[in-house]
Amino acid sequence: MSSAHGAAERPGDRIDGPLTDLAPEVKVIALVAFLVVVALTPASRPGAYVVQLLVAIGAALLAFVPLGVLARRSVFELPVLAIAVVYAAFGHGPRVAVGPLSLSEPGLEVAVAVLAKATIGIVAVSAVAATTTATELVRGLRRLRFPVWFCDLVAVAARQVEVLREEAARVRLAASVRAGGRRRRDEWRAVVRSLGGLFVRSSERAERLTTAIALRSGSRGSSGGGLVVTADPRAAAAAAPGGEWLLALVPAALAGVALLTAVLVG
Amino acid sequence: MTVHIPDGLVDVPTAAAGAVVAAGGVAIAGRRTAARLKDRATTLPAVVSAYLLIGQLLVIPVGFGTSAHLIGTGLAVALVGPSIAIVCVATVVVLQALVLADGGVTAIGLNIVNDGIVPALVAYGVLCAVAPVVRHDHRRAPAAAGIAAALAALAAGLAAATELAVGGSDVVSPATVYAALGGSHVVVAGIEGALTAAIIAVILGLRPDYLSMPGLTRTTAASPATTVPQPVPRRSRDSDGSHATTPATSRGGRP
Repeated sequence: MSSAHGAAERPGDRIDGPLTDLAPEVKVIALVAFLVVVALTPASRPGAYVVQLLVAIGAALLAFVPLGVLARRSVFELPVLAIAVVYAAFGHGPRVAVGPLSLSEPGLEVAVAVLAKATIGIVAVSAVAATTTATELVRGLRRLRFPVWFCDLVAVAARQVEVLREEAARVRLAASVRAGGRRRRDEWRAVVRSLGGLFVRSSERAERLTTAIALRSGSRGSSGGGLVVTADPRAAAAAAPGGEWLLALVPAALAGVALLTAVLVG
Repeated sequence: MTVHIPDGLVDVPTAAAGAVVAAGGVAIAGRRTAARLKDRATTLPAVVSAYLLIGQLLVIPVGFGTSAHLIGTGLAVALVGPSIAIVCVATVVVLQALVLADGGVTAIGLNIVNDGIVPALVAYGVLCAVAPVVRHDHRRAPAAAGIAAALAALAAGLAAATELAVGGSDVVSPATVYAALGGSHVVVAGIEGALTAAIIAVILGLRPDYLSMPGLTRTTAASPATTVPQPVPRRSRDSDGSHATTPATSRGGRP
């Protein structure tokens, strides 16, 4: 399935850096541990977020994440910003004047915390995503004992995203040429037609894929493995050395120190 | 505004509870998917997951500098049924969280519940309820799917509001949380319903046999609209050569 799909791994395309060679399961666990500590940090200790953000930025720098990628991903914060505004505007308790606005003081505190945590999350995930291909990620999930069928599904889906992305661009172009004008209604029609056409093409693609796999006798074997994922998690890769696991806990430990310091000092 | 919960918005116990519910729900959906699709249990959901992910990238301007895109859970239920839809949304949420940094990593479980399990069950319930109407006149299928998708999007917003009320900060009252998320999702639901109905109408015109909606029968699949030659894979393993989700397989009972 690899040669036919060319640059199929772009969604998880990796940047070679110091973090690249860490085992994927180590990176996933490090990420979750770090983000759990961040989530546990109370809103009343905003100083801790500064340190935690610096840890995340440090990891992103080690991972050579391009700044443009981080900037583009900040759009994912827009919904969080809306929620933060609700907290600040409609929170109970004493009000403070911020410019012409009267905002809830505890609400403002929570709003800052929510925005800070979301930002830290996006930066930290970017560090992991930039150094891990989708295939490696799936291997990591498998070693963390995620079910074979699910890992298999994520792996094949990640490849199909790239294939469909190109197809979507073509279908979209064709549909917008046919829809003609530049009015909003034409835009809607073009998107709807492309999505409809894309589903039909996707379904046909699923059939071709199934046939191709059957022809290469790559169907589920007696071993219970998937199409691209083996059943035995240990067979997927050599076990991560203990040193890597220790390294993985460094971001979480730093975040925890920041949390404890803020609580004790604050 | 979509309903992806980011890291740190909801407390850790609520996120953990969401992960447990999501794991259970996806495991059940996965078992049903495997039983229904057999050797297509990976390929079809994988391609549909990719379709949903790409579908969210096609953005439509709605004015005021904002744009809308499809969430797609209701559409997925109309296309491939609730079990496969849940499995697909789970795949999409995992890829979005870990590869695209969209949506929290610690909130993956909650997001699977909000975007997958809850709206899929609601959409399927609505589709089953209106199935007699659709069976009577297949031209009503787009409207039925649109209503199902709109109510599914509303349910997704209410599920997120419930989690926020339970595990979020208590500086605002639960009523405010429900009003804010519910209110914004009324708009989302309207767009979602309109897009889903229009997309179903397009597919109904191209390949109605690819739809898996309750109430659509084999007769629609053979309707004059299918002038496109059926791509029957030669020497395919399955003798009928038809799509996994033809109404013949889905109509008989619950998928």
